[in-house]
Amino acid sequence: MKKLIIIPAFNEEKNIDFVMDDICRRAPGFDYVIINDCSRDGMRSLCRRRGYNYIDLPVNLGIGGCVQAGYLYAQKHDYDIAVQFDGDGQHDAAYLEPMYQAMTEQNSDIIIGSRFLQRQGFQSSTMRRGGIRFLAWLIKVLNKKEIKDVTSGLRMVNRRVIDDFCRYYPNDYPEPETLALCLRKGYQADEFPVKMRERCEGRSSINMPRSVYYMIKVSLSILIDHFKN
Amino acid sequence: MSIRLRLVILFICVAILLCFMDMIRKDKISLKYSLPWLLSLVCVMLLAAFPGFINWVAGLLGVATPVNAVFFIVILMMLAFIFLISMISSRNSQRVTRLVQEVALLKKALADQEGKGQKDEERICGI
Repeated sequence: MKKLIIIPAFNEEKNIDFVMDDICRRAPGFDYVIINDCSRDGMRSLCRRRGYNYIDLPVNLGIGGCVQAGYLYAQKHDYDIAVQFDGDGQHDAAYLEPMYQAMTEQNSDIIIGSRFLQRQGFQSSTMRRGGIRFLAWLIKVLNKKEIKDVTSGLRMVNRRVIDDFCRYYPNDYPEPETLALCLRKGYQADEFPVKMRERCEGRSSINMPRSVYYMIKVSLSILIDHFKN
Repeated sequence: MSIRLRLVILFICVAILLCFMDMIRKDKISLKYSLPWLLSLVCVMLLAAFPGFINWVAGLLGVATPVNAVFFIVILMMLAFIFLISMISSRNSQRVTRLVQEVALLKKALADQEGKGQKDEERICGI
């Protein structure tokens, strides 16, 4: 079984060493690739200096195009499993192996690292949790399956889902929509309880003025996905 | 429509038409994307040249002043163009995304080939 960690990174110069150290020590059974989304800090020279396995996007694509490049890489190099892993140090590499075990045991097509199953670790703000609960409800109503942490960026998928993600991956705020897509296609989606850290350096890409736009855009995209075939 | 307005419309249309012709000649806009413009320009010119038709359309639409019917039709045309451009732009951005990804993967494959052997022992875990 070939397993790939996809690490989308935009201006994560200060976090990437920490992330790589975490992965090397605690997820040795995985290959990895960093997708540098045209960072403006020293990401690129750092990756080259350290000898990391990285892909350099010549133009900034945003999170969707960046992650999709990783899935294309996984498809090209014939990986069986691909897992998205944030480049900002939020995710804990120690969960990757257990997630993979759970995935094979439950025969899942996609398994999501969920903050809300055990309610431990960084839980994000009340506002944001409310928004996430609404999106989870929307997905549940439309797709008859309850997933609690629909915005989690920590997700492991198998070959079938990799192929689908290579064909279509939304560009901004892709997590809830791609989950809805998986459920619509009849893939088995499961959650795995994880603890997340608060990001060490840099800010989240979603701040207060954007959150209204975020909710509208994501709700709409989930609704529209329901009418695709 | 007064004769003066008709002349002004005709004059502007001819000017735009000439502009377009020049742009097409210099390959600044493709004939494909300028065709709808040329067609609508000709339509507007015909409307200005034969006001009887627009009077009839205005009556049909229930517009009291025929010139408002002209504006109405032109605005509809503009909306159609803008919609078309949004569609083209979406399609182009999808294409650009895929191109960028392919270029990045190719660059990666090339770098891997060049660095084979000498870099292998330096690589930190994974591949």
